[in-house]
Amino acid sequence: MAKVTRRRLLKTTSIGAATVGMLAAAPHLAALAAPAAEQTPELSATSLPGPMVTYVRNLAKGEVGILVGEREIVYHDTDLVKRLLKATQ
Amino acid sequence: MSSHREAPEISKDPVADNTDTYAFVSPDQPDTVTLISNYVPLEEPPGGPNFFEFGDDVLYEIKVDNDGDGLAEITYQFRFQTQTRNPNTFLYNTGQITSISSSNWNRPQFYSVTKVDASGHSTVLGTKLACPPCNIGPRSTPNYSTLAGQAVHKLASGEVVFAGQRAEGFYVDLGSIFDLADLRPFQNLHLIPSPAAPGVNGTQGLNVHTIAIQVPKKHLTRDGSNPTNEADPRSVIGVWASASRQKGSVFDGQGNISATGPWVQVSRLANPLINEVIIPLGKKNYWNSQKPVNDSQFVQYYAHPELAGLLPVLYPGVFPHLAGYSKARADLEAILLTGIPSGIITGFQNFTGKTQADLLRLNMAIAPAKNPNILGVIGGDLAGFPNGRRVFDDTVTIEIRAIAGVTIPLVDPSFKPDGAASLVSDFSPPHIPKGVSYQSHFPYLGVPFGGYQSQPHPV
Repeated sequence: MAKVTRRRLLKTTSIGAATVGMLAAAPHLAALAAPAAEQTPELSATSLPGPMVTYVRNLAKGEVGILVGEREIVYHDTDLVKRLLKATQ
Repeated sequence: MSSHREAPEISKDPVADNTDTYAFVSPDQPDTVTLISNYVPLEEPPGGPNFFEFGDDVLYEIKVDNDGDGLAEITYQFRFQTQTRNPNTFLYNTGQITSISSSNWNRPQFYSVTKVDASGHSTVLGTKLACPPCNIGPRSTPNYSTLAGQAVHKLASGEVVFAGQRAEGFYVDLGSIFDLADLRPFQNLHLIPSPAAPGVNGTQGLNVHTIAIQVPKKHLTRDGSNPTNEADPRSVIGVWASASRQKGSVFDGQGNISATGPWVQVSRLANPLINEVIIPLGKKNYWNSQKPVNDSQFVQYYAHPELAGLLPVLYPGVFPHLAGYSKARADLEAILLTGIPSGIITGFQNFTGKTQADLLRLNMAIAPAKNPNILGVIGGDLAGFPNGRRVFDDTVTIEIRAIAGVTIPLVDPSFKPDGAASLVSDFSPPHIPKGVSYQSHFPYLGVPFGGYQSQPHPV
């Protein structure tokens, strides 16, 4: 599993863009979207090799796993995990 | 059973349930080794209209360690793709299937074979290879043997492959063994006795799904040499098979399931009956998830097998020597986890070094037996289990006898096995039960039982 920082992930991969895009696209989860400065707007040009599933691997560590294609990307973002938790309440 | 439904989780996932693994020098092609891995346990032949098939969402692998490190230097990967030719009928076949390319077969299945080397480099050996349909009956799949023969594919790289339904070749008296380790021929001696009776083959008339690959020996040795010297460590390979699923699944609520993420091992198998009998219930799912190179964590279960403690209790007075033996079972550790070193059995070794890993260890320099003994090495036939495993080897009897103590003297000459240890079997005397058949050529397992022809259970 690759370990990346949230900023690096969002800035350097289309997966990051798609993740943010998916979150922002769901009205209920709109509050979870990353700050505008970090978003990449070109979602229409992005494709995925199947579904992308993001889940919280470790709540205390703010560790998120992103399943895409045949990979899992481990992603650390305490703020995102907090927002995800908030969305479930 | 060898490894059919052997752990709680995999028993719910038959498509990925690895039931038996075999590795042997091909008797009719002795410059090759045949590797077989079976999945989908206990197929009732009439089980339609959605007959059995491999999983498109499962990664099937057969792995070979050729340098004793417990890791795969060679991996053969098999991925399947299933088509539905006509979605507007409930029929598995819309007419007779007289060839594997017949358009009457409504659920044709195809597969690819990929070879992965130690560095992770992949080479695709074959694509769009056809499986045979299941054996439905004389109206749907007439001349089944010929039909299935069309699904034996020779690859340009030198291997021969087959993937499809076969008759179950593993025989065992399931009904008695899981009834408090009863062995019908000896049940008059059981703690809860009843008159002795002949064994009953619990897998009689059932099918499995087989992945078989026949590989030139030179493709399997660490240096490409031809193994001719049984004492040469290069002659020995370790083999295991596995099934993996992707980590995540998404059910879209409209009947579609998508998988995503890395492959996660959910089943593995080398030596028969290990996860079945040696590994305790609370560790079985975990054992299936682990790689053989990490098997030292399970060594206490091999060193002090629960069944060895149960036999003297369940058969009072029959195993007094075994009951008094409290040492770690170095014989079982050697046979199952490291292989047997030179100097213990004349003319034989399948030792792969100190790394403890549950592997089928095959000494490829040992020629196929002209008159095979189903008891393999303990029957004086060095070409049989635990030197790899042939399709007809009586691994139940071999392992029961080993656990009962017949192999302890290999490492501890002071131990005298109980008389019963060399007699116990679920079929007495040990024999291949009536109705179990094999082929003398690749893929060696027999023609599957037909759905129409089957009479599954007595009234």
